[in-house]
Amino acid sequence: MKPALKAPGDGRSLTELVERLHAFLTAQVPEATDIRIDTLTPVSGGNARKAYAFDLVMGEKDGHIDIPCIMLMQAGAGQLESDLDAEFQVLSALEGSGVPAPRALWIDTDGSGLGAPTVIMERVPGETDFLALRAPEPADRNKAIALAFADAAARLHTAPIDRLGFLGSATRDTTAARQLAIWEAQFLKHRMEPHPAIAFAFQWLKTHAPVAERISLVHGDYRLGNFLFEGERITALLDWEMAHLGDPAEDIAWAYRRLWTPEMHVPIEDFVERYHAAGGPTIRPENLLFYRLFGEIKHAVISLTAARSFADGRTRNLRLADRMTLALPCIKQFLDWLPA
Amino acid sequence: MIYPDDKQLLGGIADALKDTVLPDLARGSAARKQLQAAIETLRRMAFAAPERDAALAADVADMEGVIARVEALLPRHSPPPSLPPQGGGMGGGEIIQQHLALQQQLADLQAAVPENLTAQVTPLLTQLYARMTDRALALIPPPIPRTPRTPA
Repeated sequence: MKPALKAPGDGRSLTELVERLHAFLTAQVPEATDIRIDTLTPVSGGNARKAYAFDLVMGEKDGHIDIPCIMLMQAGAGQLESDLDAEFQVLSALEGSGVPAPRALWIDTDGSGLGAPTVIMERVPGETDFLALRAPEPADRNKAIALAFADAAARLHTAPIDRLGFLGSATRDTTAARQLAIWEAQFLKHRMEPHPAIAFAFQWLKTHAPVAERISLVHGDYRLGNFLFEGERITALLDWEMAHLGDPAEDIAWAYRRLWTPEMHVPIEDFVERYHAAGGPTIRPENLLFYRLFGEIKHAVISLTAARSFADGRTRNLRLADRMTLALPCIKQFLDWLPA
Repeated sequence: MIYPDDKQLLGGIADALKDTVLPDLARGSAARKQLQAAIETLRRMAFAAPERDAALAADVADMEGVIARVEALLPRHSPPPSLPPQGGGMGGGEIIQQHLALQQQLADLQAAVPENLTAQVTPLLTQLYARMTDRALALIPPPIPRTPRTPA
């Protein structure tokens, strides 16, 4: 007998996962007949999730339908304490909004059906290769996508937020303070030493928090690598786990962090100009600078959270073991950008 | 026993794993990604090992100097009660304990600076943190150039 294929990293076999998935979908879509799961395949899903692609074929009264799906399963602790349920609701709320995002299909919030908290969404065509988008060539294609990314941001930040009450309330005056409170709490919870430089950064940011131009749905991880593209078109924005209501300047600032910036194809000034031309809310320079500084500290906190997860044995992902080294360039950048 | 030292051991293990185990693992596989991350961490630790204590000692002297200068500016500084670090820390080693204690002292001190002294104190702190960050960054080796993928 051949050994069963293993799902990477957890000892669960793909055969077992297909069985669980079949039972789960049968319960979710009781009216469907002949549910079939084709070609369940592990795909890259980031540091905190396992991702699988599959084709769902099921019978309905009008015949068979075929839905290409992607399944994201939480894989232990990671860089963030993510809320799959909120992410699922955000994607559901965005349906029909014009924001390029995958259609959310089903959720197993507590993992009782599939073995780990899981979201199943429609699989959208395209690739995420952010190294290709930062390469010098093809320059025209990469510039076009960076500008399409500005257009997508404008659509996202002008999307209605009336169905997003589950994300909590935010006001123009307090949204920056609220984000700082969230990330400072994360810092205090996960730090393994006092880190006075990061503590100083929070102190400085709290005394310089700007008023937002408007309250929008903010993606929270808006960057190259977190969207699918096909040709010169963005087909879907991905990874909504940090989505929240807040200042649109936060996403623009994050998109231009050094690790993933599209600056070599579109300078930030041109990106903001395109964003404004596409109908995006006004991005004031002082808000942009504040969120660029905030972004560095947020990324430092994400790194120390990841390192703490590994140090505590809550994840076996070795990519997270030495993640504190990534916090250092963030602190350096914060200090370099700090106004005199 | 002094030799083999940390640099020799950690660096040697990283090289051995890279040369003898990595080639056997399929590109893109979870096992290969785990091993690559382990090699990178070992390599980083080997690079840092010989200079780490000197960098920490330089930090300690630097923090002590800045704390003294900031305290001299404050009228009557009474530090708030110190919170213990939230994690387990690295333990062991006097220089590490000293470093951790001074980090906490700085965190307490900067939280107690009155607004009218911020303009004087902030440059002392930011310059200190920049120097400390530079010392820590100097202990990280440059990344290994990636070998281009070849068709299977």
